[in-house]
Amino acid sequence: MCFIEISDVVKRYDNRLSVDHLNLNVEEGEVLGLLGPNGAGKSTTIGMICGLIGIDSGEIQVGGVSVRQKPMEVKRMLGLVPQELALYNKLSAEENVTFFARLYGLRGALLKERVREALEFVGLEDKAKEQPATFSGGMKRRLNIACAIMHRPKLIIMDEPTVGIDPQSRNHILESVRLLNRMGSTVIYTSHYMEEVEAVSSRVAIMDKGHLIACGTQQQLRERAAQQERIILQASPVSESLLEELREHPHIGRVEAEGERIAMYLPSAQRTLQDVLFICARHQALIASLECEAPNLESLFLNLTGRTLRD
Amino acid sequence: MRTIVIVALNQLKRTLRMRGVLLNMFLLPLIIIFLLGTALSGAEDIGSGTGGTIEPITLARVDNGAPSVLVTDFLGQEGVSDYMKTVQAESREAIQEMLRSGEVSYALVVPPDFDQNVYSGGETSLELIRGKREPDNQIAESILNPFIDTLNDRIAAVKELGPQVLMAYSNDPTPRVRVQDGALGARGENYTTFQYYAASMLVMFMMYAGMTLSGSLNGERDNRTLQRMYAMPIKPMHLFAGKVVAAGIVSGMQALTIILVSKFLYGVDWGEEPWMLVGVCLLMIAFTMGMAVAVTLLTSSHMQSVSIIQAIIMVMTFLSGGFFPFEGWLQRIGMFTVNHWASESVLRMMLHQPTGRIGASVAVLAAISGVLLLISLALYARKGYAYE
Repeated sequence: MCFIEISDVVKRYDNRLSVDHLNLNVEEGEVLGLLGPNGAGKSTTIGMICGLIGIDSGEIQVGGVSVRQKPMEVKRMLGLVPQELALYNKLSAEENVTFFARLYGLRGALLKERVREALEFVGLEDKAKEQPATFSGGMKRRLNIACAIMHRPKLIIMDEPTVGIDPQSRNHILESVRLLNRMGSTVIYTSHYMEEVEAVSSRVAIMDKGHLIACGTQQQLRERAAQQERIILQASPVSESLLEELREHPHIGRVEAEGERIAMYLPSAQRTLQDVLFICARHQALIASLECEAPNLESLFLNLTGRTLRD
Repeated sequence: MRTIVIVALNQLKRTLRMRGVLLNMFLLPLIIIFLLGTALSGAEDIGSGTGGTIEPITLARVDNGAPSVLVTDFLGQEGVSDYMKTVQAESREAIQEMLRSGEVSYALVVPPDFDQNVYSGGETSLELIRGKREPDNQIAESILNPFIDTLNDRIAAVKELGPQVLMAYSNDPTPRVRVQDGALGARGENYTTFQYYAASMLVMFMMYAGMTLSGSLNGERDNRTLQRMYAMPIKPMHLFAGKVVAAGIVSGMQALTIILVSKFLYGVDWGEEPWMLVGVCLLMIAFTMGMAVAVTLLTSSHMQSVSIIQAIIMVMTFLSGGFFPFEGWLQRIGMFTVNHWASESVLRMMLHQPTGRIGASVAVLAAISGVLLLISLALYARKGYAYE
């Protein structure tokens, strides 16, 4: 069942198109990994789903409710974990969660129970009385999550929740995402880290320059990426004639050269490797190192957009 | 309504945990009132709540001829000798030396045949020599000038009407001058330095609550908590109102602290119109909140807002005579500041002036605050409180 339905959504800032006729569905109970480099339109899309940013045209429905027509109703259903820490340093962890819980309308015994539950969930129950100023980066990130989930939202939107934290806290957060999903929440998870998205998402959507350029299960995307293996070699000298011959090879899709480093994108490295070595030998290029990369989402992204996620 | 209360309580809790803010808003004004009040007033004025008394000054007198009976009688009068002690000098040079050394404050040179010339309507003149201290000069001249004016009247009368007119003065041969404290208030009271600075610092520091509000509005934006709250089912107007209410409460607490502590610790008399005083404080809160909202919505960063609000507070306090009272054109410019009308209202209460006169100042203050509040509301409606 479709929980979020984004239909032909457009958002402009002055003359710049930030989101360009975006169509995307998120199924109920799934974790959707939303990938894209800076300026891809991820944050604008999230902002429009949350009712933070107005939609120029198109329609977004969350749980069958139009964001444009009933923003308050939609906001009641969701919990946003912003990319940057959104906490009060002068309040304790417990006071932070309590304040936001009150704004969601919780009160009395239920309020106390949900605050305790949220702190327990992120592993900060014994730090409840301490102020975030004394916390590590990872603990602050976890508190940032607690402030968004204490009202048990149907939809949780996490905008790069692991930026700048240690591996232990990252694992804790990723495990939390999986647990929240098992508890019934639909999650949209954005990140620059492909491996995180691969670890938690059931489906992945890739955005670039306001467009959705790929969307599917990890398996579907891997199959697509499988046609995009990569050979990277360090050779010397790298002559123009060498590069030209590599480019003319019928099984090599694209060749990029930077100094003595040559990267080739091709459907099958195994089948073409012998030819590559032969061409290098013919041009008297000595090979210092050679690497064959298996297909992954990163290489798919690179191939689709011509740049890496963290560009 | 619930959201406003939740946001206001949260803001209050955080503000009251900021030691720097508390010191600046609650302790600093009391220290400044004490320092200015002590430095710029006589010790006996502190806490008296009534008009300051005039310290007697010393007048050096030299008679170039037989001592003048008219002058001697005048200077010996009760009400004159209380404020001006007289010492006899031998010569004009001696007087100059005494003035230079500060031994005396003012000097009077009586010409020869002074009394005779007065009685005959002839030409004569007293020479007045000013000393080094302006306040003493003013006291001496405020005593001597009426005496000289009266003598001039007599000389003119004798000249025009003849010596028989002297019969009219026979019952009062020496002009009488009464010297008394200025009666600025209805009860003949004058405000003390402590009262003056308590009023001006109350007004100035209440305006600093605007910086707290601006800081809190910008702080939510910088903290990204505003973005989080805008993704919650609350109305931005309620959130905004909660912040304003919290800053208003802090400002009210600050006013109450300044008034009560200065009253009981420094003995400042705030008058007998408590509700009027509450009204002035509420109007100042309204003005401050309006100013902070307008500046915050018109600027793009916290630093910008703070700098502008700080500049407004300093310039208005200065022009209104909050640091030192002005006369002339600066005083006239000061009348265009909110500080002037707020301080004026409070000072009139301190002087126990009629309610109507106090009300006139309060009405101007209300008009200024009202206009600024309307401007800030219009700005909010137009620009909103954006989260980035």
